[in-house]
Amino acid sequence: MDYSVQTTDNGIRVTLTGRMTLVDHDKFRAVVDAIEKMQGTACEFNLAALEFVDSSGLGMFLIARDVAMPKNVEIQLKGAQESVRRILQIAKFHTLFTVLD
Amino acid sequence: MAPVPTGRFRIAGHGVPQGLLAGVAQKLGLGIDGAETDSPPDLLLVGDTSADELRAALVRGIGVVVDADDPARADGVLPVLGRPNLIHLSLSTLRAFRLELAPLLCEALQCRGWIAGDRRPEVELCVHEAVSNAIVHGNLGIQHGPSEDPASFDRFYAEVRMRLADPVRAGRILRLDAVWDGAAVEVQVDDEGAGFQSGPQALPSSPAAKSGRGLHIMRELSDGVSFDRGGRTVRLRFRR
Repeated sequence: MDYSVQTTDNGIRVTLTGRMTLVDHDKFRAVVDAIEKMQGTACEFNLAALEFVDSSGLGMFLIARDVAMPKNVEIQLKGAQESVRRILQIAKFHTLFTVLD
Repeated sequence: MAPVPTGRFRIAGHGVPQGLLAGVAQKLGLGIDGAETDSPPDLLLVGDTSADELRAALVRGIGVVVDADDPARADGVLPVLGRPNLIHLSLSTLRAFRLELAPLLCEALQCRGWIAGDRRPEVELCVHEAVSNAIVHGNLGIQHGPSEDPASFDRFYAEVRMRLADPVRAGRILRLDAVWDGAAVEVQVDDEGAGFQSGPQALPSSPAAKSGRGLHIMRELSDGVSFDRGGRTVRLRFRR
């Protein structure tokens, strides 16, 4: 997995690309650090180029949520490809995150 | 039991010393793959190989792959050499972790026409979850995933890294078999861990649980999941 972080009008946009699995924990730790330090109210994950996410990757999104909630930051999961969207549905992530097309 | 045919089968190596390859070939009665034929060898002995090299070998049609760190295991694959409906990989835990086997296997399944392209993402995710469970909870012996405590994620991955550095745990073998029956493919993952009790409930405790989704994902996306050997074997079925 690769990632980039950009500042937006109301927070940050995190773009994830490639495969997000067990081995990406250290990289995602840097994403969590960016959420901890961010200003604003929204953290948008751009998932359009994310090809694969496994159960460990789902757990990483939940870590991001744990960090965002006390800051009143909304986490948005946006633009997921069909295969990634399917796993988000199976995990019932729409009950925890704002999932956008 | 029918005698094992040898001689007509060929072996090749990736990242393997020639002496080791020659020794295994002689012990098993196999020819060493050369440039005289375009057909793939029947058995690949892998040492320090890359994912791209292994992918290319599987796509080329090699059906049986054995880890060079444990060449004695090659004895056990003689009966399955030359079977066109089977893919068998027997690799150390460390090599299986580094190579990330699910996408490699699924590319081979798709190339052989055993899965359709539109099923590949869900097959790949199920195989990936089964292999990850076999590595982490089976061969590395880490019983539980991260808990609700956010810091437990860091501790969990530190534990994975530490156990992968332990030669005993990292050297345990993970077997991955795929068998095509003409209508569906059955993927079997075997580990050498302590096993687990699989109950009917595979759902995590809540959508916010940090771990425990693997079995649920496999049950949702495959056409059948079953366990054997006290949880050290998982079988996944996928209709084409």
